[in-house]
Amino acid sequence: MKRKMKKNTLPYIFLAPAIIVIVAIFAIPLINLLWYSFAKVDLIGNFRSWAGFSNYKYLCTEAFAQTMMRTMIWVVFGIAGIFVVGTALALALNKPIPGRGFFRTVVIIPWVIPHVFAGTMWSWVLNSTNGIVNTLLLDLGLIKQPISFLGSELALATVIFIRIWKGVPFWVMSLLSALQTIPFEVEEAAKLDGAVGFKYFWHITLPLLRPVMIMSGTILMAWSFTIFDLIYVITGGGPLNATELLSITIYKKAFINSDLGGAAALALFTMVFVSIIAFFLMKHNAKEEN
Amino acid sequence: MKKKVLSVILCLAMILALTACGNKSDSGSKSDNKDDGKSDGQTELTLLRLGDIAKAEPIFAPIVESFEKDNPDVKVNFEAMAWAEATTKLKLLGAQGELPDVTFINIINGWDLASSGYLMDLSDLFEKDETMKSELPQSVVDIATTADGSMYWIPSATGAFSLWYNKEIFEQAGLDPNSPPETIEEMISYAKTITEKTGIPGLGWGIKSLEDYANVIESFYSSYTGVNIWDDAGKCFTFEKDDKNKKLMAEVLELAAAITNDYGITQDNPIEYNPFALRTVFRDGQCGMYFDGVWAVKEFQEELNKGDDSKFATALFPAGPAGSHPIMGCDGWSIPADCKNTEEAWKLVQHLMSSDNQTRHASQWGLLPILESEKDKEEFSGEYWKALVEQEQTVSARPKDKNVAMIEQAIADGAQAAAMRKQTPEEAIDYMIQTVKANYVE
Repeated sequence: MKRKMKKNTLPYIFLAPAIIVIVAIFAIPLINLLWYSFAKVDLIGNFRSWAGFSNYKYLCTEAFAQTMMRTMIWVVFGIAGIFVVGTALALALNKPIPGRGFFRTVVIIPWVIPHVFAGTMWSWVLNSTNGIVNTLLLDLGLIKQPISFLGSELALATVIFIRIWKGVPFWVMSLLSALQTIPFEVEEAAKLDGAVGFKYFWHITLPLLRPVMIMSGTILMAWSFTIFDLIYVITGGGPLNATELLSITIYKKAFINSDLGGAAALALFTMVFVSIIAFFLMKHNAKEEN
Repeated sequence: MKKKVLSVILCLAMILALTACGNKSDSGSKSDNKDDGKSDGQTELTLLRLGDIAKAEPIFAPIVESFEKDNPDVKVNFEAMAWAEATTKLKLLGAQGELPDVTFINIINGWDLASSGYLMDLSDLFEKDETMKSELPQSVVDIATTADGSMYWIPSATGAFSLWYNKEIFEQAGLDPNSPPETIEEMISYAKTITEKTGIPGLGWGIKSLEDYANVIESFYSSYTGVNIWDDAGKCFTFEKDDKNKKLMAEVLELAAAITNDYGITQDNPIEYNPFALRTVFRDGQCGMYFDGVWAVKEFQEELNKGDDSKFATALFPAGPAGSHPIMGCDGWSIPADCKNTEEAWKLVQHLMSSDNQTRHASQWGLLPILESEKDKEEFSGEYWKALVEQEQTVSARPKDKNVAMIEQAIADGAQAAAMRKQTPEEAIDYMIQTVKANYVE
């Protein structure tokens, strides 16, 4: 019994230093964030006065509701796109095709490109006067007028597309690792039972990948809520707030409006919101594993 | 037992490794100085220029060297800080009482630092310096002076919007390349002619909701009304309580909407461009004219160096009913309010503002020649300098308020909505007023 107890404590001893540091690094800014959200503070955190709940009043405005709606569209469609494209690519790259190593390397490239560079690059690629996409489409005769990808009608769809382009490599890498763990015997047995193609994917591959998908999806969701630089470089949150997401609003409140308290309130709300969703996803995942 | 000991040792090693990271002292302004900035009998000053150090150091190293030669009891430590860091870092340094002895300030962080009491009012020192007073144009001094007569930095880096135009495209359209448009109406007329005759958009126009677009709208407003867009003393827009100015602001916004939607004189989708992004469009001959300032000179240097054969030329910002009054950005040299070596710091500022040093700074950084004695120098002899320099005389000011970023964002957002006809000019004006009121921080 004593030996069992000692064995059970060993993992915690190893984890202790990391947990202490993480809690210290995480807790102090979190307490600061909470404090700022109830106060009027300037750009460098100088406390000016208590603000009660006034920093949270923005959460009851229509402007916030619209921003939240746009953010949810960005998150949901972004993850859906990453799921579809990433899964297809992962399955393809799992096959023993010639040049597989090369293709796997190429697929990772969007992920390693910094957001700021990616945003600048895409701004010019999609530019209606000089962008290569419009130039190609016009030269091929597929369109008569350049498409304003970054105009008010298409801007949100465009940044979602760029988000998918940026997020697919992570999904591919996660799934590829998981696909390697599917035993060969399972595949053979499934084939013997007539489960091939889509049936094999739906009944065998998908259930086995589900835990990894939920974990990766949760991480992508959390990232999606916090992506700021990519969108800011491309559209600045415009035009006409078409791409004004929570992250952009937080930035503008803090650095344009010098309203650090308001920004803190919004950041805290985002953190709680994402944590709740992540909690339920992880709970669901743990249930399935058990 | 051995495993336990090993695991404890490993844990301790991890903790030590983690705590060993950090505690690196910031190489801020005075970390190595004694309290009075003196060391070994020598006074140490820190000079900070905002911008890339690789660009700044070669420009300022000889200036610092010559100052130290003239003042052997003073040592100057030169530093540079990236623009992106400046807003928060300078304020932190100000709060800690560690602003460099001479700091290059721009208006975005300058008014904030000044209102927090971190910058010295240099107006008295300036008034006593007859040389500097005679060298700086009154229009530039006015831009840098608040309503109560305070001056928190000596203007050194200025730039105003002018009209850049392509002489070759003018010729193709049958227009005289030596007679650029002088008024807004003429500009639109020329742009229409260029578009009709050449198929090239006559005017490069950007309405992306950023500071630069706000500056264009402010320039139009001042050219229509003859006043600055912001009332510094009243802390409100000058069109907020004045019906005449409000009407003129509505006309400006309607003009922006007409240029964007009706005249057919711009490149496609102005919404995708901020004014400065149009440089590549102009450079590549894809528009006949556009608004920019001295900041474009470095980008077009190769073409401009062709002298009379250069296809690029400049003209004054087209005049509205009240004249040509584009806004002017005005950055410069400041001294912290708690500076311990004010006399030496002021001497350094005077040295920086001497004609040769200011010319070195301006010509190599890409700034306007601001001093009267600079304007006839070889470095600024190109034909394109005439309009850029002349424009200095009739400029208007951006908001002299620590909320300048928020105010100009409100202008940009409202003006964009009006330009796209998502709001009427009146609605956009109301939006600007209400947004600023809701977000104004005293």
